[in-house]
Amino acid sequence: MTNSTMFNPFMAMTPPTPSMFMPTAEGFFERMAAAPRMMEVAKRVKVGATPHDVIYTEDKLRVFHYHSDTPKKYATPLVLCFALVNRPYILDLLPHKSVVQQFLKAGFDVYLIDWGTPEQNDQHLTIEHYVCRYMHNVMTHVAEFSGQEQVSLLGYCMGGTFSAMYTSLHQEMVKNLMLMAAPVDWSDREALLIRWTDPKYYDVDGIIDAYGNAPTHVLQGAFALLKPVANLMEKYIGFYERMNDEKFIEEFTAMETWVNDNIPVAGETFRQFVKDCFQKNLLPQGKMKLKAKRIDLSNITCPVLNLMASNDHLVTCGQSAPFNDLVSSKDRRAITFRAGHIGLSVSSRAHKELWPTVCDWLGERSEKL
Amino acid sequence: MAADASTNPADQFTKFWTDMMAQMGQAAAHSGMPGVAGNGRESAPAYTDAAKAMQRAFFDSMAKYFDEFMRSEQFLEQMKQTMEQSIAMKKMMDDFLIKAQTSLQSPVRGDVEDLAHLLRGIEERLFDRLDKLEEKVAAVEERHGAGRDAGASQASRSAKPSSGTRGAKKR
Repeated sequence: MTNSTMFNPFMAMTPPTPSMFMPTAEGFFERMAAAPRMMEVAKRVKVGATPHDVIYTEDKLRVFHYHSDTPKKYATPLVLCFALVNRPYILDLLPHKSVVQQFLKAGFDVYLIDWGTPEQNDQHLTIEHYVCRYMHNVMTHVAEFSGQEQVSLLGYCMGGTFSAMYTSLHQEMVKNLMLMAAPVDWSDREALLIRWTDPKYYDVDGIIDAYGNAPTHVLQGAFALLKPVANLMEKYIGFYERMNDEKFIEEFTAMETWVNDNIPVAGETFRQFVKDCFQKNLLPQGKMKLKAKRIDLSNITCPVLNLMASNDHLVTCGQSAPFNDLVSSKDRRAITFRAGHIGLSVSSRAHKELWPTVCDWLGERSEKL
Repeated sequence: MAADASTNPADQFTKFWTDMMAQMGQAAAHSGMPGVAGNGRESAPAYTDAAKAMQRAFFDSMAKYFDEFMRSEQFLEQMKQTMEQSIAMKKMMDDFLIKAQTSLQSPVRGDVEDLAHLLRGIEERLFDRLDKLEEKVAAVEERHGAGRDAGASQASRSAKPSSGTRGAKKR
């Protein structure tokens, strides 16, 4: 038996040394030498670059209509609706990590709602404004623009919750509804965000009364803290280890651009969302009201596809899964994919395995040209 | 009085450290760290793999304890206090600025916000009235049989845009 194969209990018990968790010194000079080239790569990164026209504007909202070289196969237009938190170009981050391009290549006519950046004078906007007014106007305009009676709708995160609310009020406008990591049930008190927004600890009135809108530093601080080790330590070690890899730098820069491109949320919308959804969980109970109309998810009868991410730290599967039981649709499907909240839209695996399936599902339920 | 074991920081830290060391030891043993539970696979790449596995175990352990801590009463109370202090600070700053601006006879943020609120209220009332008028017109058109042609049916459709589109630009 050689020395190296002998059990060394001290090695197992040795306290971790800094070098154990720091990136290896191996390749240090190679990485440093690559830094200027990588800066150039980072500068060239362009997010949300799929060519598009703005076909509709209202206040700060804009609707993009995407161009594609692929001939259209489906007449039913598809509207993508992102959350009010952060910017919607996460759905079109890079050409090879673009949900928009996945749909375009599959032959769909794709539109995206950019809610814009709320300013101090937008603090009075409520969920009613977003769902009953802006969304309805967008859906009606897209239907008119495309010459169709109905539109397919894909809502991501809070945009998914809004899409569900909208469909329950205007089922006649929605041909197919797809939700993507969208919370609809906040009864799982173990989810970290739900715990943090417990009225005992979280004074949403105090924040909105003082700041007007939900400030970006409050929102981003909370999101970063949900995964402190990954966001504040691992990310930078990972960056160092792969900083001479051009493809990695391109993706890292695009992701960091999006993560740091924060926008506030209109104050009254935030207050209403936290109180009615996070704290009182009114939506799945059919007690939430918009413009004096009760939001009853059982009004939804169109085909439904509910996409969930099994490693989602922001919206757990438990918050999304109940949706399929709350609707009246006969054609309903749920897919739980191994990814995180953002990975659902940008991970390579999702683009290889999930989105082609989603395109097939939607294609089977859309009007063909 | 002795602190409760579950709240004693020293005990918590010991538990964290022991768990982390156990996980890292396991990771090292499984990936062939030289000198650990010898399996004869030790080499430079094996060492790197082992270090990576230990790094992973360290981060997983840290993440687990961070998660537990962030759910604790202690963290939630701290979060609440920080938020209260930040709100109080913001209000103090705002009060100071309001006094300064008022003494300079210039409008303050609240004035602009009130104005924006007022305008939004007027806009809302106008839109509501227009929506009701549209409904009445559609009903009249339907009564007179205009609803039978395609154009009228389009107008009377429940999918008719909300009045908000009046402020919108179509391109």
